[in-house]
Amino acid sequence: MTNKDVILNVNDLQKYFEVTTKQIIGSKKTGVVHAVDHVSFDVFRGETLGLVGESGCGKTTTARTILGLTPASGGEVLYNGENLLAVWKEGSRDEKMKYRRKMKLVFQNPWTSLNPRMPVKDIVSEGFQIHDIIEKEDERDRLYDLLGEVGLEPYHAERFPHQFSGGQRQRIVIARALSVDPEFIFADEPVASLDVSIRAQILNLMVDLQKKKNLTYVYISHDLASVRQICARVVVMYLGEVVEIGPVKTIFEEFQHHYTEALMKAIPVPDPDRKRERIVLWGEVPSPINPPSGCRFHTRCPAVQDKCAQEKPEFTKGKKGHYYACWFPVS
Amino acid sequence: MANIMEIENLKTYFYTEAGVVKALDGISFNIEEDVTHGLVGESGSGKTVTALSVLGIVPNPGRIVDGRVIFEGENLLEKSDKEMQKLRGDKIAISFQDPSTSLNPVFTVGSQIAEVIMRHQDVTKEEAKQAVIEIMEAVRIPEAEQRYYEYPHQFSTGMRQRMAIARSLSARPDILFADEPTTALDVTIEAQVLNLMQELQDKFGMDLVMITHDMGVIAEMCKRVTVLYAGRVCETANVDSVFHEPKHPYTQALLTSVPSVLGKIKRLSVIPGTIPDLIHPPSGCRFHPRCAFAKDVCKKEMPDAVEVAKGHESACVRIDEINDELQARLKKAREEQASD
Repeated sequence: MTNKDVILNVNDLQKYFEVTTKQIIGSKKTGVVHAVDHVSFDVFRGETLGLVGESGCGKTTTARTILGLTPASGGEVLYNGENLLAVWKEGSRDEKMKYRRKMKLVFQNPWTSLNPRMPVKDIVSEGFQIHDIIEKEDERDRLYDLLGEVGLEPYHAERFPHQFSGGQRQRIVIARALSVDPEFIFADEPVASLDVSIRAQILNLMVDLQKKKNLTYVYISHDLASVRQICARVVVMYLGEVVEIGPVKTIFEEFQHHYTEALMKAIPVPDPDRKRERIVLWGEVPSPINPPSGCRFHTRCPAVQDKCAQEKPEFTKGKKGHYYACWFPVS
Repeated sequence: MANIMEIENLKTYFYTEAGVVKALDGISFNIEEDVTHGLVGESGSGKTVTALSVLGIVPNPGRIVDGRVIFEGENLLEKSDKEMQKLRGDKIAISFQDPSTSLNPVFTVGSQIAEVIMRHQDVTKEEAKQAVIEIMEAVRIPEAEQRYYEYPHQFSTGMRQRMAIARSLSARPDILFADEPTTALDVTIEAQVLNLMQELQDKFGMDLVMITHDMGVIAEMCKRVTVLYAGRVCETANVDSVFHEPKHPYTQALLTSVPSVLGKIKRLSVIPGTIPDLIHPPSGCRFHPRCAFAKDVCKKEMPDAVEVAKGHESACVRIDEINDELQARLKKAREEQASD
């Protein structure tokens, strides 16, 4: 790719889950879920990369595997050149702590990701206390600074999560992630569960914080409008695989993969003058236990040909930074 | 054009221990015949409660305290439970938001739909079954005959939503309230359901009321739209006018604060604050604490929607003064998007 500063390099990442059926004695392996199957992409320092696809396509599992929350089945993840999967597997506690401080996850649902029995001050302070990064007497200032950065007031520190609205809770989640000065944040559907008038507040906050702290984001979402708003580049996933990757404008306007086209043309556009031909994919997403042969999308693809079922398409290079895996691209 | 339903000054309150929640506080709008009507608003704006009130199925501790719902020349709110039971499903139907909870998990999907048909039509069990299979095919359930005997958990989310719609259509209602039919769905499944709803509308000729928070769905599906905020109507107008020339600051704010697939807005405009507490709603215009144009007059009187342009009702008392600024802000955001 280009010689921009690559902060995270994901190479051929795999994550498989075994499916077992209970027997009278013990259990039997009956299948393998190909949740993340040979996924590769780079993330550049300071950018926002969007990870999009339907539910079940492996977006969240990709993030969890990179973060070491679930062990990878294969592949390589380099963070600033350092082999991250090896750290998660056999690194010392100190090494793991080092990377856990650098990369943070913002969860989807602020109703379940905050401990209801902890006051905000403990939720937010826990991170820098565990990582032991500041002096005890500075902790209070640090807490108030963090709350201020995400638009909360000092008096909120004593309150409990149930006393906050959804937007405010998501602010607390973000403050918690920022408490250890991370470089890299995975945001997993951070606005999906919020009211529409609140989403703009959180998206703007994320953009501001990114500028201020030079953060790198991976933004996971199936809400394509918000992806267009905040991402620089987009990775499109289908059934555990990357099908297309490129700059946001290219993906939205000059897509080459038929799955991306279907996604883009399925979104209802908030403009009554643009009545477009909706592309409807009938049929269901195939099971990731026995994914289709060749191109995984061939069972639902409107432009399918014989070759698609037989051979897996290689990535074709389009314009600058644009790659797609399709034998018979859109244009 | 004739109105199929007229809702006048509808008030539905919930009497909770914490206080009286004014979920609907005097909303009025008409649903025209053969015009797909949209009800748009955020959670807590009263979209769903409107539908539940019309159907007479407001759950405890809610009560309809005032208003009229005129349908076929009669006020639905004066009808007895028995009369309403006859109307529900047969004339007016609703499909609920979440199909995984609105279908009963312990009955087969087929029997749940057959029940509706047998309730309203004088048919045998076998005839009902045939009718169900027909409607399952209409909503594109593969192998309908076999699927008739399956349970909701054996269906995918998209199929469940289609079945929920099939159930509400099974007695061929005149008017269907579709409550967030696509909210929990992926975009590709959403496209399936929206397409299907248009197909069915053509096929069965019913009137559709789409309840949603998604302006995109409104733009694609509806001709007329009512914007609700905190239990009050902000504006009612044709979809084109609402998108091109909204006559209420809330609608304008909603249109420019939501990201769009059409292009990046330099900075999303933010509606400050949060949705008000409906036990102690703000005085006057419910939107005034968050409104960029609010003046003292907005705090005093609770404005009703009145006609400000042909076929365009707005509840903003300052609309004449602020209209130019409102349109300028919208135009600016649209231009940024277009130049992205």
